[in-house]
Amino acid sequence: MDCQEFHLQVFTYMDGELSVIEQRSVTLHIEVCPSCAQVLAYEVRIREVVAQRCCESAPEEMRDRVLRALGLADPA
Amino acid sequence: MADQAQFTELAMPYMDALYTAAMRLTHNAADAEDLVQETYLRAYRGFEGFRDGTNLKAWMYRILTNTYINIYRAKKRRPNEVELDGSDDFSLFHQVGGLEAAQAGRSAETELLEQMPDDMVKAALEDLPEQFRLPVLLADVEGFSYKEIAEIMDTPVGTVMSRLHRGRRQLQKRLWDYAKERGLVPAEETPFMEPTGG
Repeated sequence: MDCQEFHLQVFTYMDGELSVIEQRSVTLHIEVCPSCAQVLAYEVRIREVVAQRCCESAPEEMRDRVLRALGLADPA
Repeated sequence: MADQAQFTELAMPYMDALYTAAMRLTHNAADAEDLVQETYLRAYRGFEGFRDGTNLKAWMYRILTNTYINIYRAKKRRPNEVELDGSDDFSLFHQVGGLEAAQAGRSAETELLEQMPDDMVKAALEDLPEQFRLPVLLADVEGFSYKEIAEIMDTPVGTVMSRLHRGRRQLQKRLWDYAKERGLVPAEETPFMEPTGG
């Protein structure tokens, strides 16, 4: 594996969706290539930031609203 | 066969996750709330058809996605397929790495990520055309596998993979553009550093 191939496979690697052989090939590359290891660490961090920043909490009243719509709300 | 009486106990814990997806799809709270309510209604009515032991969360997402496509996208008459510009190779790391080399700054790329406010990251994701936004949301925010995403979107796994790759690269390009607009990085272009061969 070279750096160009790593660049193409880094997301699939992070997703855990490569074959065992491909997965191993990426792991071996990272062990000998500090710059790709840095890229991987940064991609992992980007993903964490996106996941954290994009999460929402449903409004408080949403649960009651849904239960009412389903006809399952407790009688007041 | 699933029992309707179990529905709330099993399905209610997914409300925040479904609301997150609804917000990123509809862009506003009122539509997101309606979409979540409609999703629960349809799921409840169809719950007898849900097979125990299969993935309820993915099943709920599939209903949400179909409801969104049938109701909201039809309402807004959004084009179904929008193409991305040629940013399939964009790497935020290499972009900021170029900046770092130019300024001899310390850990500029990590600093930039920490400085990105919620609304900016949400806007960057919401800017992606829908067929790219949905897989990125399902994989990176909700942690679904390729196979689950393929089932939710009713798309082949290979298509999911390629849309994920392109969607993520485009997301990084949007983050970089917003960072420039908001002055988190200097506005002038820095040279794009290709990954070195080796």
